Amino acid sequence: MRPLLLLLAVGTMTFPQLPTPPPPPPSAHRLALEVAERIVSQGAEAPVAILVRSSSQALSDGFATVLAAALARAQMGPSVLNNVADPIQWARANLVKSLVRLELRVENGQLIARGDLFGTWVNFWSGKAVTRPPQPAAIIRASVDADPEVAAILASSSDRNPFRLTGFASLPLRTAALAAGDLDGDGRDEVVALTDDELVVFSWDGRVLAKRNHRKQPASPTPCREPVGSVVLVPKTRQVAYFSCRLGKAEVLEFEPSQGSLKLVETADAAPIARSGESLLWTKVLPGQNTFGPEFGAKGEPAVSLGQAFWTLSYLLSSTPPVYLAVFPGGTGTLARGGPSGADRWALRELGAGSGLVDFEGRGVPALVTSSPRFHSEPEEVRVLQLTKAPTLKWTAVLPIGLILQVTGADLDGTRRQAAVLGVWMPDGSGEIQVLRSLPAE
Amino acid sequence: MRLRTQLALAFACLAIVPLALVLPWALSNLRRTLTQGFDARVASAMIAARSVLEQVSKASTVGAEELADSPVLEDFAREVHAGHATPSTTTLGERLMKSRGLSVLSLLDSQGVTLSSGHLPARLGDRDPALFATTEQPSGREPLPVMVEVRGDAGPLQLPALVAARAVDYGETRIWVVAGILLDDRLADQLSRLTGAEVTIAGAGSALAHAGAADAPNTEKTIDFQPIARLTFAFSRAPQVSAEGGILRAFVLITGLGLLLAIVAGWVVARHLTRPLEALTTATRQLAAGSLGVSVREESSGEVGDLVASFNRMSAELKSVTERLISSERTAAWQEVARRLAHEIKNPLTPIQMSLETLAAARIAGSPEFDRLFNEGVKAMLEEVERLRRIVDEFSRFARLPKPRLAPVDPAELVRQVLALHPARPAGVRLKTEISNGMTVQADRDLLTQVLMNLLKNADEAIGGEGEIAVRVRRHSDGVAVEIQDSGPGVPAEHRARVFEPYFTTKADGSGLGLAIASRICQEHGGRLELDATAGGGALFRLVLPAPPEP
Amino acid sequence: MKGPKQVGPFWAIAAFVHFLCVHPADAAERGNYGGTLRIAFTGPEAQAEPSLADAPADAALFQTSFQGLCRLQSADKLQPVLATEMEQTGARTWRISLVEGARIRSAGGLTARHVAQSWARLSQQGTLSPYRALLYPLRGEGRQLEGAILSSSMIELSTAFAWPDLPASLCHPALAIAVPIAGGGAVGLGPFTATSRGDVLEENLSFPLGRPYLDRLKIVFANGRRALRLLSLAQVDLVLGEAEKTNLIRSPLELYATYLAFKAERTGADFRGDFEGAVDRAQLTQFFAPTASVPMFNLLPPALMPQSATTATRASAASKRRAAPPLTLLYDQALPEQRLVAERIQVRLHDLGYRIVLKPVSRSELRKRWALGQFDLMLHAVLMPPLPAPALALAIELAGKHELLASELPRIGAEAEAAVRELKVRERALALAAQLPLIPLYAQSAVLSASPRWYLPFDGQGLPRFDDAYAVGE
Repeated sequence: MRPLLLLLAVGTMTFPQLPTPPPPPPSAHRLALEVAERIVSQGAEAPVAILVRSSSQALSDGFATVLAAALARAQMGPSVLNNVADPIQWARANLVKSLVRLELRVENGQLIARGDLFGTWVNFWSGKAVTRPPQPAAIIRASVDADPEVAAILASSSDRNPFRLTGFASLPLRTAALAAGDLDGDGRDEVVALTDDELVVFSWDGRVLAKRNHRKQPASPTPCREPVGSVVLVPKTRQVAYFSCRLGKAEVLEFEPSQGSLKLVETADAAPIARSGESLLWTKVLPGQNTFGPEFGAKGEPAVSLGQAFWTLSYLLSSTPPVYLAVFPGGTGTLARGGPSGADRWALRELGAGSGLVDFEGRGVPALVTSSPRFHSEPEEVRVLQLTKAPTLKWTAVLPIGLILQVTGADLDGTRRQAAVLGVWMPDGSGEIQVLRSLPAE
Repeated sequence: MRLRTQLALAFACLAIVPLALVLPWALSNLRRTLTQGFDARVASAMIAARSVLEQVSKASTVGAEELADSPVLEDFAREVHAGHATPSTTTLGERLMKSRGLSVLSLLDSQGVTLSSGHLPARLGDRDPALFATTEQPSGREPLPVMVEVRGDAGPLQLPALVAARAVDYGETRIWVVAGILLDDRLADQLSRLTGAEVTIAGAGSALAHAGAADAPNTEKTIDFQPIARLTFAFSRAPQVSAEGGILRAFVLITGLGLLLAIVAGWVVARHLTRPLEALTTATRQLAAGSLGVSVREESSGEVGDLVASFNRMSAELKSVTERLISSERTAAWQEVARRLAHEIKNPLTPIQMSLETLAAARIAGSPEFDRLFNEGVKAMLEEVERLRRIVDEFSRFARLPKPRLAPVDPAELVRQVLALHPARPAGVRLKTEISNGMTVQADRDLLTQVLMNLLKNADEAIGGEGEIAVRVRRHSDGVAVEIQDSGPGVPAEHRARVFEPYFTTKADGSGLGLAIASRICQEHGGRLELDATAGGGALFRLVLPAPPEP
Repeated sequence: MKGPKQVGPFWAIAAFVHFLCVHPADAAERGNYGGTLRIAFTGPEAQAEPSLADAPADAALFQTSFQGLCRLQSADKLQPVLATEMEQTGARTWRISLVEGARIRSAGGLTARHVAQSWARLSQQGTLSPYRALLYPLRGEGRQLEGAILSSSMIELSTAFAWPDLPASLCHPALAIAVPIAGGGAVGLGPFTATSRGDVLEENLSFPLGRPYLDRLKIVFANGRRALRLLSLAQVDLVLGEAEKTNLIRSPLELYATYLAFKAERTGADFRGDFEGAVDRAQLTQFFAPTASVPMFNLLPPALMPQSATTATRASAASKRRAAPPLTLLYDQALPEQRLVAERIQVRLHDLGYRIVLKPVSRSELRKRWALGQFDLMLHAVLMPPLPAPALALAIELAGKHELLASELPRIGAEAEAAVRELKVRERALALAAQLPLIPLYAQSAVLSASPRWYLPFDGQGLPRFDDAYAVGE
């Protein structure tokens, strides 16, 4: 029964609607073969379904065909998915045992295929219920030198997209917090990332400028289950204030750009959550949990209460009036103009855990970048919403791998046009920082 | 045998005979009734048992049909048709079986493979040829007996069961529902309690289930479920037998009691009847023995009462008559004695009178012979007076016999003494003595000596100087007897009765009082004097004295 | 964890195994703190001894308040729990640092002594357990660990022979730290702590991995059908140990392996062949132990080695045993499917003339009888670690051939590469299968039913992680 189905699947999926795809450029061909080898070596279970995305549909199709052929030679029973709303559901329903999701892009002269290999086998005992949440099980990463044709194809296709997602840096652990600000006064923002081991200051192009390792310090008596923390930068004073739930306390550091060092200024028990002017706004962390608040405020000043504990607090001080966004557990949020207790506030729904305000245009009008609101959504989405009275979706893209947990805006090229810096949690426990840039209209 | 005993026995027999006649008849009747009752009970128990088994088969059939029509099985058939075997089929059979009160349930597919089994869930997936064979019967028939494997302690057991098979179809898929009830200990127990018999379910030669108990002796009935099983009902006749025995024992007891009662009642009644008769008998005996005036004082009624009254009257009359007779005899005896005395006295008085008259006449006549006549007359008169005096002395001696002063006397010693006192005998007299010693009588020594001497003198006179005198002292049935026997001519028979009368004598000069005195003395002692004749013709005088009771 | 990471063909399998495991906090959203999870537990009672709480449902419940030094996120990824670091300081030595200041309720702080005593119980009379095979490579076989204690929070373990899987072996639930307390019972350190109300477990704020998302767990003891009914009436949120097909959640790792242990002198030499001919494992798992089980033909479950149908010589099906005394089959009375399996075995072997009497006993009684060797037949189930080499050690120990460990394990441990080790294990498992008086039957995974509003991930041992569970919004 199953081989028939597969044959049917392969037939419908690859041949009827589309014309035979053009043969892919040699680099893509090579990449496909390498990816096939990786897939086989990771021990994928036949039959395998393949989903390839890139900014060029033709390239995706060609790549997928070569990949399928290679897998078929390796007795993997491949089928290629196209235009399937829910690939995982499809895979389960069609008794496919593994699903490969890949994204193709060109970066630094390399054609990179990134994706995951995913087991979708469902024991028939489990009936209709999900036996286990689908998780990426192995990362497939392969790259070859991109030849100019591929670069051209992808580059030209990318015109259709107003946004581009690129990588920025990798970290051994997942990010607990992200912040960006110009600490060294060079006009471009530095990106500061906090993990459970260390605090890292990156330059605008992803180089490590300074690190502070706090792993050696004793753990708090009420440790956090997830990497939880907050980082606030005060560019004027080159201060980096951070709170790590692992430590259970906050540290205020001073960044010394010439030495590339971070010097401890003071410690505190509360968590720095935002900045108002030059002063830090502090809040409490519920012990062992991943929420802050509900109150926050500057030291010595009356606190602002947001009514309930919140996951993240994002703010755009460059807009007039300043806009604050608080995201609460459950995906609701509050947007307030004119300061955290601004009069003009409205409630938002269906926000993801990774949400932030980003000023793409540089005109002080923030857009809302958020992750997928669905619980355990696969794959992860990044959404850019225009902040009108009712936020409207401007753009969305699918992340082939990883979950977005932090979003912050950073002016990485000095043009006052911010890019969204995303803290992405990888399934193998590592973290990545990716950047979503808005491409100027041409 | 005494009347009383006779009567009592007659009563007893009277009581026994009807009982003895009734008992065997009653017993046989009872036995017949009990047997009938037992047979009726057995028959009704078997009917009940058969109806239970019918219900069981009906339950099997109905259970199978109801299951075949139920939505549960439709769902199951659909799943089997679609090829899904669900985990719950393992327990499906057990649940359905329990909820419908069956003890065998198998769901088989069209090849006979078990899809679910309630009685042996572990058989899932195996072929079951025994139960599959039952599906070849067209539906609507009676359930079939078949050997079924069920759970046991050390593995599966084979037990007989009544099963019915029905089919459930879904498309081309056919599922067989084989449902039924086991013929196991539970059913045997139910049947046993219903019928009161010992139920054994046997199959393949061995007993597979058993319930109840029936003591021997038994009657057995069987119900067969060929060829698988046979139900045997053993009805115990022990109660009947024990009932019979009980009743027999009761009968025997009653009979015994009745007998006893009859004997006792008879005895009582007989006593009541015979007591006056015995009193009468005793009185009559007493009367015959000589006591006068005996009356029977028993109260009695009827004929016996008349008899007693008559006896009493008779006895009183006899007494008065006897008294009159005695007094008249006594008067007659005294008259006789007086006559004899008068005669005796007259005899000497006549010569006296004559002499006196002669003298008187001679004096008048002045006869010269008066002196001679006077001397002769006085001599004659003195002789006659002497004779008169002797007669009077003896008479007064007879009349004045003193009361005997009784004292213990040894008769042997007394007799020897008397013999020693007796004057010497002439030579021709032989004296033979047979004297037993060791006896004692209460007697007056002197009087008894007198009697003995008198008797010896008589004996001497009888033999006249030649002959034999035997003196014996021996025990007598009435006491002690002293016998003096002579070899003389004896006393003629016509005189023997009168010998002891006073003034009877055969001797010329006897007074005739000796034996009378002796007899009187013996009577005073409470004994008697007898005269017997002997074989030799001589006289035997026996003196019988009562012996005092032995101390 | 710092240690040499190995690459190779084994990791193909491991990675496959890796597929199926969930990593912590993989939610697209952050975890929601708060809430009470009401759990219906279908076992007869909560086990108090780590080596006895090995059935998946028991282990899942046990782990809520008793944790070990580490936890496997997947076969190759080890997450330290009560240890902060497990550093290999030499070819055969590991230095383990315990978390500082971790307090065990009513037993003071966690010390190395607690660890040593806890592990020593596995080798003691009265609590002898097959899981002592996991500690076999240690010097002294894990019986006397006092010498390994460097300080109150540091232990240095040295193995008698090279055994690279040692750290992963220490993550087994049977090696959880349980500290006996006066009055019977034991306490441990876990994401939840028992309260004075016996059926409620509260979050442990000072759990080294961070407090669990849930505020508390409420345990209800109910048998299978009642538990499912409570779930359908929404009176409980999760049923542990039983599932209907509509609500079934299975961990993908079938590591709870059930074997039929037999005494050859009692059953006769033909027993294995008779058994193989009489009992079909596929049927056994399909009908008699249906929930979450797969047939197991070889010494290790399918999750650890690819199965090859047994090559035991089959005695002719007509071989009969006449007039032999009946054999007693002991099984765990707390596991309902073992009753069905035991009955199936009884019935199938009955056809070949074996008379078998079934005897359900408690799990502690079962282990005692295993330790003394006092049984004819026994259905014995153990939770295999997700690594082939320790699993083989456990299987050999389970078969009662402790002495074989001395010859088998060093040869396996001598292979530094995991893939080669795995191949060797596979080969040894096939070779030893005929020697060990153990017939593999089936392997099961943890089974639960839950309403969809709860997110419940599984760990590398195939057990649900309640500390990472939380309610998902409607």
